[in-house]
Formats: sequence, C-alpha cells, structure tokens
Amino acid sequence: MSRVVVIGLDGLPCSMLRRLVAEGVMPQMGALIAQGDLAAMDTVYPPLSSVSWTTFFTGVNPGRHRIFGFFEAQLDAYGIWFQDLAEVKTPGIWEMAQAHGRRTISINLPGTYPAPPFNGAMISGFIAPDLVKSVYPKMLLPLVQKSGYLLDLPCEKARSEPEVFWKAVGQSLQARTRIMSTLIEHEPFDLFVGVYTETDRVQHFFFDAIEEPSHPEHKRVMNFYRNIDKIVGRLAALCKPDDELIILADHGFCRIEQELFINHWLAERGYLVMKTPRVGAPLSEIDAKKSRAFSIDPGRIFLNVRGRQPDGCVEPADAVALREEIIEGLAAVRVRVPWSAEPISPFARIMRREEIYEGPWMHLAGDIVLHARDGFEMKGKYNHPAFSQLGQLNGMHTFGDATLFVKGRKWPEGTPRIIDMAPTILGLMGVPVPPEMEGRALFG
Amino acid sequence: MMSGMDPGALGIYGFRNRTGYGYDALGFATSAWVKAERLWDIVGARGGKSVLLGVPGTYPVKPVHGVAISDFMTPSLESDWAYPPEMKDTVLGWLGGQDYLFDVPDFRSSDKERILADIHEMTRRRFVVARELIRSEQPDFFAMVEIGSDRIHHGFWHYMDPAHRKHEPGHALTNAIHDYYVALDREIASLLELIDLRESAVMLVSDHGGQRLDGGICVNDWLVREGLLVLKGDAPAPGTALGKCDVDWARTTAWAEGGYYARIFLNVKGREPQGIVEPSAYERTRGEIANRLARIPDDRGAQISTVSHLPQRLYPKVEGIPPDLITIFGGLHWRAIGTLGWPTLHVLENDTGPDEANHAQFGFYQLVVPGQAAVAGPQDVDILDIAPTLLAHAGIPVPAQMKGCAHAAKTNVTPSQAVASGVPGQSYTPAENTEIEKRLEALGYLG
Repeated sequence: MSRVVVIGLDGLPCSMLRRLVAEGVMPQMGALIAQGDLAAMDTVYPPLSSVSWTTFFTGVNPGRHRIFGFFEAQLDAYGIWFQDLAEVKTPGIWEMAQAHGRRTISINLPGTYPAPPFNGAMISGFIAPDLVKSVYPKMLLPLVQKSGYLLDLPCEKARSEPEVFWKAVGQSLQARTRIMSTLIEHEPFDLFVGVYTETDRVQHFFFDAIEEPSHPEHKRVMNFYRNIDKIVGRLAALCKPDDELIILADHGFCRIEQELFINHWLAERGYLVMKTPRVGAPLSEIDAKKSRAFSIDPGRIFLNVRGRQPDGCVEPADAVALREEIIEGLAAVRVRVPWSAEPISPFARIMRREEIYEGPWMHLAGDIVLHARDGFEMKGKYNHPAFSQLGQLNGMHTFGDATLFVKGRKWPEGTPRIIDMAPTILGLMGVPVPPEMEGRALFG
Repeated sequence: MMSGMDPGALGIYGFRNRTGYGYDALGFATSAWVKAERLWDIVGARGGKSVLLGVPGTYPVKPVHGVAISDFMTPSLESDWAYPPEMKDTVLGWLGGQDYLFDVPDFRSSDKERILADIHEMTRRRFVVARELIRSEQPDFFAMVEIGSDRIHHGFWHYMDPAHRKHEPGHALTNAIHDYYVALDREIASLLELIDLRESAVMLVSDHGGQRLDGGICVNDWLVREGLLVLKGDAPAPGTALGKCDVDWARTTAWAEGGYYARIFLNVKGREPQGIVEPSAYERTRGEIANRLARIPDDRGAQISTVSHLPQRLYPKVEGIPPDLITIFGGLHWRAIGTLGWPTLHVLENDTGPDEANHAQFGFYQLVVPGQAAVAGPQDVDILDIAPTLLAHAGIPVPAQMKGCAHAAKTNVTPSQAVASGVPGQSYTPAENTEIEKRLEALGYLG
C-alpha cells in the first residue's frame, strides 16, 4: 500500500545511462542504481512518445487505446488528423487509481492533453499547445505560470540558435523541477508521475555531441546530464522511505545514419501516384484513383481499398495479395551505407498489423507497419527525390534499450515491456489490476 | 550544370574519384564517367544540332549530333579532342596554322607576364573558333566555356585585391583582371553579332565564383599530427605525394585528397583492404574528425569557418564511391594541400605552384530571352536549375532526373503537410493544430 513515484526521462537509453554513470557524469543515478535494479526495457511499435507513453498509462496495446502515432490517417478522406486525450479509448492509470480512492499527480506525461478533471492534479505533456487547458485543477495555474513553466522547448531553434535552445532547456528543467518538488512535498498523492522530455529533445539534436568529446556542444551536453542527475537525486531525496521509486524512459535512442522515404519507394514501384510533383505535398495530393498504397510517418503503409477509402482502387479481394507483394518488395530493399561495401536491408521488421496489434481500433493502424534498423529513420514525406538520405536531425528512437530502474527491488527474468508498467505500478499501490490490462505486474 | 544532376547522382565528386576501395584506386573523371544525358544529348535526340566548345567533361570527345571540341582537360593536340575527327584540321585551319589552346600552358608559374599574354591569346583563338563554328554550323544549341576567366583569377587576384596578403599597391598588373574582362566582353559582343537574338535565347553563366586565396592547409600532415594517418620510416620530404609515402594502413584511421577543398577518406574495417574503423564507430569517427578539422585555425591562430559536409546529407542519391567527408577550409579562402612533409601546417604557396585565388560558392547567370525584357532574376538559383531553365525556354520537357527548377516556372513551395478540413473528431482547435504541426515538424515527424 505504498506511494509510488515514477520519474520519466523521455528517451534515455539504458546503455547510455550505464555509460554516463561509469564515467562519473551521473553520480546520483549511480548511487540509486546501487540500491535497486536497472534494466533495458522494450517499448512498443512504433517507438514514438505518444504511442509508448499512452501504452504506459493505459496498460494496453495501440489496437485498444487507438494511438498509433502522433497522428492518424483519415479513412473517410486522404488526410491526417491529431488526437488528444479524449480520443484515447481506454482509461488512464489515474482513473484506475481513482476508482479505488487513490490520488494521482501527473506532470508533463506525454499524451495527456487537455488535462481532465479527476482525483488529483495534472499538467499535460507533449503535445500541449495551450497552458490554461493543460492544468488541472485551475488553482494550480498561478503557481505554474509564476514558475516560468514551459510546455515544450523551442526545438526549431536547436540548430539555428543553440543559445536560445539551451537557455530554454535551463529554464524548463528549473521550472519543472520546482513544480514537481513543491507538489511531492506539499500535495497528498498515492501515485506521482513526473516526466522530463528535455532528454529526448537534446538527444534528437545533439546525440553526436554526447558521443564525440571533440564536438563543440559536448561540454554543454555533458553538463545537461549532470543537471538531470542532480534533479533526479533531488526528487529521489524527497521520497519517503516507504515510497516505491521507478525511473523509466519510453524508448531508447541511437544516432540517425539515414532517413528512409517510404513514399519514394512506393511511388518508384508504381504503388503511389501523386497529383503534383511538389516535394512535401500533403497526403490530400495523392492521386487516390491511381494509388494502391501510401505511407504516413513513421513507416505506416495503408492500402487504398475500395469501400474503405473514398477513392479506393484496390479491390477488397486483391488486398491480401497486394499487401504480400509490397512486403516481399520491401524485404528485398537494400541501401548503401558508407561503412559497408555491400548494400544492406534497412528494415528490422516488416509487420502485418495483426501481428502486433489487437483490439477494436486495429483497423486504424497501417496495413503494414515497418520497423527500421536502428540508425534508419522512416519519413512520410511525399515526392522526396530519393529513398534514403542522411538526415538533419542526428538522434532517433529505438524499440529496445529504454531505461527502467526500480529502487529496492529486482526486476524478474526476461525483458520488461512498457505495457507491463501500468499493472506493475497498480500492483505496487495495492490496486487490483483490471483484467483488460495486457501487461503483467512484474512484482507480487 | 549540363546534366541538371548533382554530384551524388552523377557519382563524380572531384577531378579524381575513387574507383574502388583500394588506397590508390583513383581515376580522372573524364567524359567516360558521365553516364547521364547532358543538354546536347537531349537536344540531339530531338534532331537538334549542337556545337560544343571547351565544355568541361567532354574529353575524350564522344559522338554528338553536331560538333564537339573538348575542354581544358585535353592533354594535347594529339588527343581525341574533336568530333567529328576531321574537325581537327578545320579548326587549325581557322587559326592559320597556330595551335588551338585548350588551357594556358604551365599556368601555375611565376612568369606572370608570359601567363597573362598566354591567357589573352588562348581566349582570342577560342573566340575565332567559336565564331567560325557558329557561322559554319548554325547550331540549335551552342555551348562554349572560356577557361581564361578562371585562370586569370588564379594567377592575378592578388594584384587586384587589397585584402590579399600578397597585394602590392600600385603594381603594374593591378588592372590585369579588369583588362582581361574588357577584352572578354568585346569577344562576347562579336559572338552575339552572329546570333539572331529575335529567335535565340542567350545565357551567360559561370560554374563558380572566385575569391582571394589565403593559403593552404596541409591536411594529410595534419592527419599525421593527429595520429589518424600513420607513416612508416622517416618523415617524407616537403611536397611528397601520399602515394609516394610508406603508409602504415593497419594503423591509419583516415587519409585525404587535396584540392580546392579536402576530401577525407576513412579506413573502414570490411570496406578498405586494411580498414580499422569499426562500422559501428563510423559515424562517430566521421563526426569527430569533422569537429577536429573545424578547429584548425589560420596561420596566425585565428579561427576560420571550416565546414565538413557529409555526401549522404548533401545529395539525395550517392552513386559511386563518395569521400567520407568533403571539407571546405575557411569558406574556401584556404585550399587543402594533399602532399606531405611540410614544416608547418599552413603553407602560403600551393603545392602545385603559385595560386592567388580559390573558387567561391556563388557564380552568376544572365539570361536573355527573345521577346522578354531583361529583368532581375531570382537570387536563390541553384546550379541544378540551369539545365531545366534552358530546356524550358527551348520548349523541351524537363526529364525526371533533373531535380532543379526551371527558372521561369519556379513555384512557391509550402512544406506544411496540412490537415485536411472536415476531419473526424475535433480534438484540437485549428490554432492548436497549427502549433502541433510546428512542433512535430521541428522534431522531424512531419513534412
């Protein structure tokens, strides 16, 4: 019947955490790890923050919670749209806690916008465009505003004006930590979830600077991790001796070697026909009467089936064979990488949606879900002139290697999964795990 | 410029290119390397006649519907420099027995007076040939390249530019470049007199700019100092080519080719014969070398803006074997010295002879189209736009492999992958949708 404190470090890879601890950059984490168990966790397909954190807080797969990416393909038109928390089809962990009289505080948990009324307090996480709609209860708003709290970082400046970006990182960490520590100290709760997304942002833009001591941003990036370390140490010190402490990431991270433009491949093979040659045209500009398939980020391929989409030109009877044909074609794809004389396959897994998803919303997933090898980031851009190209960002998400730490306990054998987290947390709180949950409680 | 394709698509990254992963596998990029269709191939396929004079990348000459006289890479008058071959005698006849000059003989020499006279004479003779070719052939497409403007920059820039470290105020050759351009202008005017501007479009265009050269950075010597390139035995004599050095490849991480810019090659395990860079460490090593190169100061210790480009990022497709890094020292004010054994990291003379100018990133073009007033064109034209622009004005469809924009048909591009109206559900307000798009774009998830 303990309180549970979860600190999220978005995208922090377990392997990198071990290295930073070994190098003495993160001594507080080092001290914590000595008192518990650190593991590399698998996340979910696709390993995107919106999908993996929603899986984290619902304990079900995307076929049930219905979040398959940062956006969803419309089936009644050729377009995409963004989903907020109201479109998540299964209850969040704070609702399950509430059903048993427990109180939750959730700060910056991605996928929780707008903040709903419930037994607890919330500041929404990515993507939260409006601060007022992000805070529940509203009496917290003055405190949040006064702290200089930032919903997100000015990532568009990370490359062009790194000074502006880093200044915002400093402000964001300080304000978020002030709010979190105030609430941990003064607000009653049974479950506290506080997520730092700064790690993910820094890694997207400066992953090379972490690995390369000679990189001009190396020192600043290392100081950033020292800062994160201090913050984690400070929050951990605010916990009571009986509190359960979990530190986790929603996915791993690695360096981008190449970007893959899936729609280029589909177009080259004649599966996709565009009405315009404009690079970066929207989905609405595909020639739907002639296109048998198209892709949206990240690596979701939809067939254009008659009766399902308005101008569907694939006969339902042909859809299965077409999907197999595309899968076969993709499996034969080879790309040149500078480190190998022989071309390699850029894909780690080419999946039919029913192989990985299950539930009432599965029809909204791509017919094919691609998972690229680490180092290959898939793009949904239309009319890009090449299939593969080196990208402008230098860090990307991985399916494995997400940080997972628990204090004072040992993770059981086998690789933990992010879908196991909600039942595990409920179990630690002494709340019965609802039968709909697909993950397993890793303790007790 | 002539194919409308970038170096990655062409697989040509410099005068000399890697032909394999061996350490000495380098070949000159001649016309045989160019597999892509160039403007005259496209014109010829439609029955149009072309005349080419001195266009780089045409030696040795290949058959063309029309006439081709090859470029400054032509070794001598004994080479295959004319198509059809009988044009050799015709050209030499127009010159009254004088030699046709592909380039200035020994132009990196200190005998400036002789070079200046040779540049003028080379240009004069080329325009004699140009006028005769236009008169006799009446081509549909005429393309000539005068190399003299490049040569005079390389040889005489310091007399003109007070910012050049070798500038001597009041030198007798101060106006050498100016006077050459005056002469060139007259030659161009004489050519235009032969062209009916009511039916022919004319483009004046350069392939790069020019600027002062501050000196050279000995990039292979630097790699040796950094422990990235390991030599066996005694230090080489100043100016020794890498191919003449005894390199300990089993301990070497990277080596370089010099030139106007440096090309850095990594010694990758499984790729090069004695590679030592693990594939998993490739990107890290490449990034680290790029960062270290960026810190090389000038000879006085001041920071210069050195940029290393990754071919895979510059070009959508990377054919052939690209260098692992393309490094541009100090905004091209410094060239890369590939030879070894120099006493200092910086040399103020080029290792292949005196050189006072380097190329600059931006060239120019001026297009005159029949029936259209000459107006200021767009400022952000790419060299890839030239071929499509010329084809568009000739009424020829632009082939798919050309990724540039036809100048006349340039459209505004809005990259936002906008949300279609009437979406199911109304999670976010339109203003929120816009904000979300902005944030997802910044993280690379949209567009």
